[in-house]
Amino acid sequence: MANIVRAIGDRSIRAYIDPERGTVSRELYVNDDIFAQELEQIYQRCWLLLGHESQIPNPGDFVVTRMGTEEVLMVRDRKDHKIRAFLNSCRHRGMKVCRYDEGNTLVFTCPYHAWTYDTKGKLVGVGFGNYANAYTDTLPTGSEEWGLVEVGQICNFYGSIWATWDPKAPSFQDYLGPFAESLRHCLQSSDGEDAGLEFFTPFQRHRIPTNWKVPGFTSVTDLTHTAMTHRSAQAAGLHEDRGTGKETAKPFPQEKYAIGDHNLGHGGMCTFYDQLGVPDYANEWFEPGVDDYFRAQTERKKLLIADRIMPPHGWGGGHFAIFPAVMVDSWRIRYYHPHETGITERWSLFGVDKNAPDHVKNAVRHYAERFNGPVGFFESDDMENWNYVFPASQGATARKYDYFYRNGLGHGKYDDRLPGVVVNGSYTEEAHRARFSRWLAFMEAKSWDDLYPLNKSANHNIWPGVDGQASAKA
Amino acid sequence: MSETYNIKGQDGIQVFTDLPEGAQVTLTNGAVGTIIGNPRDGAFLEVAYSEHPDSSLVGAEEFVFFNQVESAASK
Repeated sequence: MANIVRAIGDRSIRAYIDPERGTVSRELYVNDDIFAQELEQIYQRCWLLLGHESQIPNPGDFVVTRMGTEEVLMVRDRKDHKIRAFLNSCRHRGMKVCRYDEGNTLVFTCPYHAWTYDTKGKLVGVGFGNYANAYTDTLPTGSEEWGLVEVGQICNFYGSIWATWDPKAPSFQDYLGPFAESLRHCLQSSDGEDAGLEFFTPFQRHRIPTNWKVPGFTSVTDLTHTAMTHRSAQAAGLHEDRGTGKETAKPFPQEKYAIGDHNLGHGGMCTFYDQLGVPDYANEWFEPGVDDYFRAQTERKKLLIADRIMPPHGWGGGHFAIFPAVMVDSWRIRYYHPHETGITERWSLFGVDKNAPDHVKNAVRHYAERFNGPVGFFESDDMENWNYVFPASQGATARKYDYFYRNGLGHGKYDDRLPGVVVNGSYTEEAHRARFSRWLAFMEAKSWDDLYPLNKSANHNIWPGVDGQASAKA
Repeated sequence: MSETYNIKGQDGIQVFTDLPEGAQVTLTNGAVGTIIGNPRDGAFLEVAYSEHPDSSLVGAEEFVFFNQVESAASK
């Protein structure tokens, strides 16, 4: 019997990236064995976005979300009102205990054998549980041992809900590192109130025939693609998509970079603001009354942070990625769930001030629908690229030729304004390289003990030439 | 005057599924309780016991499977 050779030769995972050449093997994007290893090494360990607290405001509310390839129930308990998350899989025979996208419930009743769990995940009933010599002396209801599988840790970060399967993972705050303030800022309402957003539901969901890293690693911090992929939209004047855009705000001193944290894997576009406070508001909306609302909100925000410099990324300062595959900016969150090596599901969340009047919420929602998704006028361009990258890279010939990730290699510098983060030119691939540094660290690590920030002395940067420092060697 | 719910008849499954909170159920083991929650899954009721053969369970709340329910009536 012939063996199936999935990769050429006996290669360690590290051998698929050549830092000196600045290249990454296409096998990372098309190889089923590598994908399976990613699920174990990355998606079992990383903090992953589940959703937002505004999706489940009432006791008993739940939504079905995802962690990697697996469905997860995010639930607000009926009694203590805490948010918890569980694998959507019955402990008896593995059936989904919930087949609705969202709702309000007392319990999750498995339709197979009626194993039933409360909103704390505790097993509270089984079919024919009172039969003598059946379950009665083998499965006490209320048994902690046979409750739904709960995530290892969960965190409500200014309204956004994150979880990890790994109880040994660092806190979410430490996982974010220097990006914590930027994420906090993007979750504020337009007047600067913490956790001031709600998100439109249902989320936009698109299934894309590509590997999760195509959009997840490379659609963030890719200004060059904007110039080409979206050129047709710009030619049609669609960049003035919220309104006439005739009014120009007073310039606010700032510097824009591509950045990457090679130890944490986060990075993206970054705007460093060089002035205290908030820029003046400039009219931009078609809809009547919307500019009035945001102008008033901006004035309140000016008072709130008059003596501070906004965190990088804030105020439309470009999007950034939280490793492994969440993209955040000032008006949306997008995340990429792997399903198979070549199947990815993208969820898009659009936030709006939770206290905004209806006409503002409607304008923001309409804008989100105009801009995003297959019927939006920008992202259909992106998806066309993502769709064709995978089939054009998985062939026996194509996968022998590495991808080029050398753009800006050797020109990055560390910057005290974001400690540990490499800052590079706007059109470089610094953020992409940072994600591969972290990707490799996860793929090789035996546990979180090997990984930053639990391992404080770790240097996961594999690429040469940052401030003259040597890269991490095997 | 209390209403008896016919949970054993032809439409018994639907009647069971729609049992309202506050109705009283008698279980096959003789326990009596009040429905405090109905997930409307046709399988379970959440019951607070007012009588139970095991006196330590009086006042306790449990989910009971449909086969444990002998009869149901409004209070």
